[in-house]
Parts: sequence; structure tokens; C-alpha cells
Amino acid sequence: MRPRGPGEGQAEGISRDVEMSGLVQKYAERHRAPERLVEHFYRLAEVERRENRWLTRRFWQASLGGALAASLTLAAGLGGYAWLSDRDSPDPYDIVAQEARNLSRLGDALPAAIRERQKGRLDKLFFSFNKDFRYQQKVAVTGESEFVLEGATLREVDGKKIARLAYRTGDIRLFLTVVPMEQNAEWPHVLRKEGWVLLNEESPRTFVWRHGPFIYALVGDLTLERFKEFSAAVVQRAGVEGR
Amino acid sequence: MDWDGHEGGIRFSVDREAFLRALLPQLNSLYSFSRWLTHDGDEAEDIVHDALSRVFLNGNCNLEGGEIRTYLFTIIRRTYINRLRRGRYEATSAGYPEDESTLSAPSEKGGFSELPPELLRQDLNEALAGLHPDSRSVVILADVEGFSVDEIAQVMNIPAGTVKSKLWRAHQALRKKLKVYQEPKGK
Repeated sequence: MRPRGPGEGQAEGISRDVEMSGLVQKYAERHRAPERLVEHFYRLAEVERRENRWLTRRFWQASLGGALAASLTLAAGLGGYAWLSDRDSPDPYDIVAQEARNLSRLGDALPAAIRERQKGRLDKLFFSFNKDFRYQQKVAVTGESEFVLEGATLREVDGKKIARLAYRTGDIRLFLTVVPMEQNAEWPHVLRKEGWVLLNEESPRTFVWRHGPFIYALVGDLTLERFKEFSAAVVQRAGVEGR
Repeated sequence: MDWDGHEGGIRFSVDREAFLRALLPQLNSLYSFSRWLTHDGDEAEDIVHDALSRVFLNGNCNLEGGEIRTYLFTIIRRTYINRLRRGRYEATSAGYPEDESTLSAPSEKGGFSELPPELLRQDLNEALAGLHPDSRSVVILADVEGFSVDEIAQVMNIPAGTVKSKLWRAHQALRKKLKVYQEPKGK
């Protein structure tokens, strides 16, 4: 009598040699996956779990909050400092998203928050941010209205410099946050490869992407096509190709 | 950077976490299947790593729980076939005739259980390894992994009837290889 196994019952109708089937089931070698392979996917799962937790608890809510936040003040935006300082070691992904969130909350208070507008001062600002970063005062996209830089600020959180830029195209205001990237295995996988992520499909739409040595977060109601054009134009002119 | 990479952008989906939860318990089986296909531990690992990582990163993880196991085996086999086409390694069919006409129908049965298990284990695994990869896949999927005919047909991308005939022929090929165990005692 051969032992009943996983092949039986589920494989009705197979014209099988029952005895051979039993032998294979009993004696065929089961290879165990190497530890490093298992660890790789457990690690991915852990990163994904962290990312999901973070997204659901923070960014998603933040984005929804951003839609209601036209009346919030700069002080409310700066509350992000306290949140960040509560955490042991915020990774740049957290920071960039938090900054994008804060910026999007500013609404009408934006002019007060965005200090630098003059080219010379912006040059100095971004050089102190990162010598490789090149900003664009006007981002022209063929056939569409151009994106105009309204202003920018620089701040530092946990020793990490963060550039915040506000663009406008027509009636749409865009908040671009940039953080220099550091290699970190703990970062969400989506930022370990180059490419963009649409984090929030609803208004305000939120895009995050990495290019060269920077992570970018853009909050603003652009169509996917216009976002692609904007992000490509910004990055291609940012002087970071080849990194 | 090739900015066209944007075209491959990922739409965030929490389904990826569910995908990983479904994947992890299957890793040993997937690796084992891959190992049976390639006969090479490193290649098997590469296939599992590449195939699953690609699915994961592309965000193509929106599968119902019941389908995911079949899907995982399908992409492992598809990756193996793609590598095969690129000539990374050759399919082996080490001399085991699987044409039904060359195989005798099972007649003398019942001798296997009386034999030393280790000997039988070794010879059976060698015989399995010598099957054509398609036949080996069908046998492993049916007898080891417990897939149904329809599921195997999906993994292998062949009709259910072909699965049945392949399984039958593969079993007979194994039986022929192991016929020494079926010789009447004292012979």
C-alpha cells in the first residue's frame, strides 16, 4: 500500500502509473533553497512590510491631509521636525516624503516659506545643498505651459540637507523635495532602482523617484504624462547623468 | 540613465506584501523545481531569484491566493525556458526513450517495496534526472508538488491531454529504467 500524498486526490484524471507516482513522491529529492535566497526574500518582505506600514500610517494620510490643508500654516508644516525627531533614525525616504507633505500643506503660506527666488542666491543655496545638484528656474515642456520655479528653501533634518522647490504650471502648484541619496540596504526597494513610483493616485498626486545621487518627491496634480515630462526635464538638466 | 526607464514605473500596490507572504512558504518547492530543471544549484538559485524579483519589482503581483502557486511555478519554468533559448545550458534527455511505442506496458509490479530504500532512492533520482526536462517537470509537478492536470497544463502551457500522456510516458520511462528492481527474485 503506498502512502497517500499530495499528488493524490488533486490530480484526478491523470493517467498515471500509480506505483511509479508513489515512488517518485516518496523518493524524489526535495532540494532546500539556499539560505541566502531565503534571506533575500525575507528581507524584501521586511522592507515591503515597513514600507506599507509607513505608507499607510504616514504618507497616505499625509496626502489626504494635504488635500484639506490649504488653510494650514507654516508652523503646522514645521511640525514635521518633531515627528522626525521622535524616530530613531529616519531614512531619507521618510524625510523626503515628510518634506513633500509639509510643503504641500503650506498652501497660501507658500510665499513666506519659499524664501529664495533670485538666481544668484539660489545658486549659493543649492551649492551648499549639494554641489552636483542643478535646479531649473524654468522647465519647458513641448506643447504645454512651462513649469516656473517660484522659490526654494534648504533645511536640515538629522544632519541631512533637504532642498525644497516650488514650481507652478498654470494653476497647478508643484512641490519638489530633493534629498541626496546614500546607499542603504534598508531602503525600500523601489528606490534602490531608478524609476518612479506613484504613491497616491488621488489628489494631490504624489510621485517619488530616484535619479543619480538624489531622491525626488513631487506633490502636485499632474497627469502621468506631464509628470514624466517634468521629471525627465528636471533630471536631464540637473547635470547628474552618468552617475 | 535611460530615462525611458520611467516607462517601467511601478504603481505602488500593497499586494506586493501579500505576494511575498504567499511566496515565502513556496521557496523550497520553487527552488527544488528549478534545481530539477537545471541540475545546477547556482543556476536554480539564479532562476528563482531573477524570476521572482522581476515579478515583484514590476508590481505584477495581483493574484488570487489560489492562483499564486501555479503562477509562481509557471514563471520559474518560463525563466528556465528563456535561459534555455539563450543557450545557457542544454536540455538533457540522457538516453531515456519516452516514446510510448518503445516502452513496454507495466506488467510485473510490486517488487519495489522490498528493495533497499537508499538504492532505490539513488536510482530513481538518476532516472528522473535523465528524463527530458518537460517530462521531468510534469512528473515533479504531479507527484512531488501535487498539482492537478489543469494546473500542470497551465504551468507548462500545454493541453491537459498532453500532460496526461507525458506523465504516463514519463512514468513508463522511469519504470523501464528501474526494471532491474522488478526482476523476479532468484533470476
